Amino acid sequence: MVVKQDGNERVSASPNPIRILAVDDHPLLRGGIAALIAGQPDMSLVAECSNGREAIHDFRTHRPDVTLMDLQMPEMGGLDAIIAIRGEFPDARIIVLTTYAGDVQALRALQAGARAYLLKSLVHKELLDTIRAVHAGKKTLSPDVSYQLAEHATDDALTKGEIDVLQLIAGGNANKQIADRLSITEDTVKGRVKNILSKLGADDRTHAAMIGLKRGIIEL
Amino acid sequence: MPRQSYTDASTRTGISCKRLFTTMVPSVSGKRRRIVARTIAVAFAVLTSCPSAFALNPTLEVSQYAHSAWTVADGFTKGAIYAIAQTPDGYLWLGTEFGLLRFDGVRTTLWPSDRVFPSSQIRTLLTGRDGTLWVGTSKGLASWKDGRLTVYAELAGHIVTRMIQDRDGAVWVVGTTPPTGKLCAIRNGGVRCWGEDGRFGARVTEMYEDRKANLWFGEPRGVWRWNQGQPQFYPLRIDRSVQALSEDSDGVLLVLLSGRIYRMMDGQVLEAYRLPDAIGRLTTRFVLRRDRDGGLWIGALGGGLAHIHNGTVDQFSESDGLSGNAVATLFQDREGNIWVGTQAGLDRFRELPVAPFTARQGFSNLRILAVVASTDSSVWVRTADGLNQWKDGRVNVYREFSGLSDSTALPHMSPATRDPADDGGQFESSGGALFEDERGRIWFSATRSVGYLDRGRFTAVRTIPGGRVHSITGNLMGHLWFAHETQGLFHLAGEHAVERISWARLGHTDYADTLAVDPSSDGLWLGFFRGGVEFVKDGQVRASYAEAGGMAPGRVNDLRFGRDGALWAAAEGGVSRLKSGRITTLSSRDGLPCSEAHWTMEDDAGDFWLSMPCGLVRIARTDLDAWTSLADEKLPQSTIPVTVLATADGVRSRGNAGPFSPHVAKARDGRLWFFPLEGLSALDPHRLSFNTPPPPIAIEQISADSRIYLPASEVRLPPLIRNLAIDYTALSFVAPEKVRFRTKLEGHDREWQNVGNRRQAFYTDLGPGRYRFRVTASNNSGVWNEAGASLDFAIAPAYYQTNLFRASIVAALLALLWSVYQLRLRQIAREYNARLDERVSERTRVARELHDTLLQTFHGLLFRFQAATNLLPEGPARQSFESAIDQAAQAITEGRDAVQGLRSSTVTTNDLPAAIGSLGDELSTNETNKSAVAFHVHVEGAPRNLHPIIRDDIYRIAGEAIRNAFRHAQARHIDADIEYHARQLRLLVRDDGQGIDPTVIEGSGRGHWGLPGMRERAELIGGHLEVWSQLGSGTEVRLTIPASRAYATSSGRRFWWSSSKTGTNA
Repeated sequence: MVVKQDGNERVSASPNPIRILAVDDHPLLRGGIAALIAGQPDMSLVAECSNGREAIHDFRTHRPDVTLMDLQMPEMGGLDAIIAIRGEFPDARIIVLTTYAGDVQALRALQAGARAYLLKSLVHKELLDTIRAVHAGKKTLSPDVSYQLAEHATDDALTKGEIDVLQLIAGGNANKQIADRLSITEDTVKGRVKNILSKLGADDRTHAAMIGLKRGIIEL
Repeated sequence: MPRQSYTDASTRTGISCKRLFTTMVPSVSGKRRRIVARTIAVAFAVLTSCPSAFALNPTLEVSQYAHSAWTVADGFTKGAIYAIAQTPDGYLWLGTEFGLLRFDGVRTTLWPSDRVFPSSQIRTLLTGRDGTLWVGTSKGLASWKDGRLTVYAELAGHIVTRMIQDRDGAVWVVGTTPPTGKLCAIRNGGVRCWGEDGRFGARVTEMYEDRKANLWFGEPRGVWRWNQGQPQFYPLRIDRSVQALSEDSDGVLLVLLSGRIYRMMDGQVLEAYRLPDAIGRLTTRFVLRRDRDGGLWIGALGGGLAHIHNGTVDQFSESDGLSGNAVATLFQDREGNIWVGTQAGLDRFRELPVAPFTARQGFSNLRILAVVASTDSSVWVRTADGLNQWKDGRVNVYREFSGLSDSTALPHMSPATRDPADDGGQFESSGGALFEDERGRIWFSATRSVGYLDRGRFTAVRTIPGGRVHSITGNLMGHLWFAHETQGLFHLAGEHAVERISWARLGHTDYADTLAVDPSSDGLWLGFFRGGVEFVKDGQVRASYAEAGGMAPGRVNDLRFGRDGALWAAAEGGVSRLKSGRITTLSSRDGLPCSEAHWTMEDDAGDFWLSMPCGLVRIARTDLDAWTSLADEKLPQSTIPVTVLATADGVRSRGNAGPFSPHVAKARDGRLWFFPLEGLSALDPHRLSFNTPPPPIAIEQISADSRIYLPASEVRLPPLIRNLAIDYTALSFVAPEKVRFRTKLEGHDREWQNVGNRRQAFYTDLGPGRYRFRVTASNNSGVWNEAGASLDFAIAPAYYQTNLFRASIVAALLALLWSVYQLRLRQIAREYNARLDERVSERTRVARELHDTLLQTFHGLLFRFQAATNLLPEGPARQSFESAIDQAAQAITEGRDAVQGLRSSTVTTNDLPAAIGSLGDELSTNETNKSAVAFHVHVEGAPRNLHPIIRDDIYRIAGEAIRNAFRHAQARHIDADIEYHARQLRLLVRDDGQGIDPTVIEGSGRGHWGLPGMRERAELIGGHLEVWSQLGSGTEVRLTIPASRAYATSSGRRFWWSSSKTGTNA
């Protein structure tokens, strides 16, 4: 098996390949990842599964060196799974694979303990290097993501309550409806909206909702 | 009503008589005046020369007037009637023992019920010329005008016994407080009294103003004359107290002293009339009134009425039907009726067109067989018991004492006593015809033979049998004909030459009961009992007319030649006119009230009179002439106008004509004499008592649901009146029962309603609104008061009948409709939004689907390709693959961004201006002609939330338009205006470039402007796209979207009214 790689890595390949767990709800994507890894002698895909719950289970079973984790999955999302796994196995090395480059989502994932945040559009080029880097104990970020993170690094994060409000704003709800949904007063809603606008630097509610979506603070 | 002075009366009656009667009667003959007292005669002549419409024919006695009585016993009033007056509005006022009554001829009303006179015992009444009603009571004087009552302190406690108003308007009042009294004159509210000194005025019992405006005051011992403010006393040498004053027809003062009437001239008194003992002896209190036709009426307290007419005195008392013998007052109203107030009631006298003559006038028997008028102006009447001659108001009775024997001796005839009960028993009623020959002899039929009366002596003609001789006639040559029921027709020429023609010889089994000589030949006309008329000459029938030839059928009662030479035959089946052999018949088909005619007569004016069972019929001469001229030319006739006099006019009808002729006589004075079954009737065609003044009309009260309202300028009634009654009356007293009314309630009736003589109009359930009640009336002569009277009243609407209420109902309905409309609008908007939401969710679903499946799949495939590529050796193939993979990754990223765009568009609802602005900025930096273009976005109105889909579409349309402007227009300025209006959203994109070819705009030409796509998109979101462009001067694209489509409503924006009604609208 000839791999055009650095000698250093090639040496350490065969006997202890990097054991990898792939978590994605899409089988074809998992298939693609499997194909990528399969060509690497220093990597071995030990298990793949399609949601967070299975990921926790498989992690316990296989104790992979590196876990590739999608964020948006049915039953249990990637973020929760990361938290759960990291809670159980603080050394777990997890790479987040995602479609979007939202700073908040990335930040959350990193705060939850992910070692890397990789956009899927770059996977075909960077996955292998990233796996190796993470396995070597490094943290990596896609350039887009790191740019966004830097941009908002000094922003005040939205509180949970504010995120709830922003989610409902994006759903097209008025203050009164939001207050009803969240069982809080309309004045509280107004106060939170004010905070949201200020924290996100938004001009108005819709702008805020757009920012929230873009940055991954909220999802539809 | 002002007192009618003598001259005024004659002037006015003169006018009315000219209008009513075309021909005047010649003045009465001098002979007639001979018996009449000199003084009365003057007035009589003046009066009769012009008969009055108000007339009370002074040649008649009281008993010949129509009399009506209302008695206390029948409940008419509570007590004695002391005074009568008539106010200008037409009402009669009765001063009674128990208050003042208003009387309209039918109803009495105690009046004024809420005012208090000094005493309820009314003693005298006077209507001033200004309309004031003066009320003299037993305890003082009051006057009443325009609803105001004035009481005079000067007469407080006095019995007011007499009141008059003099020519200057001063009201003179006599008040007594026995044993003294006073006389007061009230002028313009100022009162001056006399009598406190015991001299003038202290003992006045009677007052009178004569035609020369002299004021006279009667006292026990004499008469004062008011002379230029200075009273002058004329002592009477007769030791009697003055009981009443009046004046004679020549203006001389009449003084009534103890039942005798004296004329007073130059302080001297002369006895003129003596009242019957029954009146004069027993009474000390009198009232005296001269009627407008010169009749003098005397009322005695206890003796009834006396009436001096034509120089003679007649009486009328309780036994004749007067309500009582205690006469307290006399009054003549504006229509000429004489009213008598007694202690027991009220009486009215008026003249009838047809006056009755009975035993009271001296006729010996009330069964009359025939009547004939003599050339000497007397009227001969064949009564059942003899002959009566009426001449100059007296009756001479001829009755047989020794019988008309068949001896040649002349019967002994002499004027009989005037005892109607004694009919002698021998003057049989079997025969009855009368005739006056050319020598003035009165022929008649007695038991055994006919005979004549000549200057009071009877001569029998024994050659002609007596008994049932039905008709006698004769010509100027001394020929006489007698129609005997059984013996046939007798012809007497000279004294003895007698010719007899049996009925059989004339071809009849019946007999002729009426005869007439032909004025143009010596022939004779016969009318037969069983019908038919024949002309007989020289003992031969020359002509015969029967029903088949057009004659009126049935018994021929009367034949008479008219002044035009036509023969009139009155028969059972009508009246036939025979002239020049032509017959025309009038019957009930031609407008007569019934068919049987008893007789016909033409009066001096040429008017035609016809006696029928249903009354006395008058056909005006002109109407008859019109009818006869058509008849002579045999032209078709319309109905003929007639006037019918019936019972109310004094006509007493009979069912058949009676067997003997003549049935009617026209006296020289023009009066028609005829006879009902009992007594005689006289009609003076010149005095038809036409009642000219139209009756005043009064609306008395309006009662609504038992509440009474007095007439005011406008009576306001409460809402929801169920029963409404309006009392009205017409003040004609001649025959109130013949008054006819017409009413109309404007606002309810369209036409006038003929309501007969009803004096109350009744309406039920009148709606709210304004009404005018109008009423007109005609008097007994059919004279209408055309102006009538009216009363305005208004019924208030109930709350639900008000316009405000109706308007609010309409408003509520409109509001409801509007609500429904809005509801529908909202429903449509909701449906539209639901569709939009569907589109949104569809897009979201598509986005998610793309993201979740396609993108991931592509990623997966890409990974595999990458994995496969990794296996390739370095070289062109691997490079080519890697490049393809990079491009595929790039495509996936773009796809991702598109998906993200799809998703984010559903929330970016309000950044249209910003989006357009940034698009413009982007284009202006990218395009090649960036140096020249200036792009601006303008926002007008407050930006509103747009539905995401709409926003996207608008954005795309705007983008297309802006791109067009940038790419093709070569514009220097491009402007985008976004206008948020209340009713619509408008987007304008304009440039100042080179414009678009019109064919492209119209859609016929294809270009790269994408206009069809823009239009389709606009229509899809319910908008409208207009493109205006001109080559060389720019382009303007206008997109208009209605507010209901454009603006988002899901943010809780609701209609104002729906927020409170969410529950019912949901």
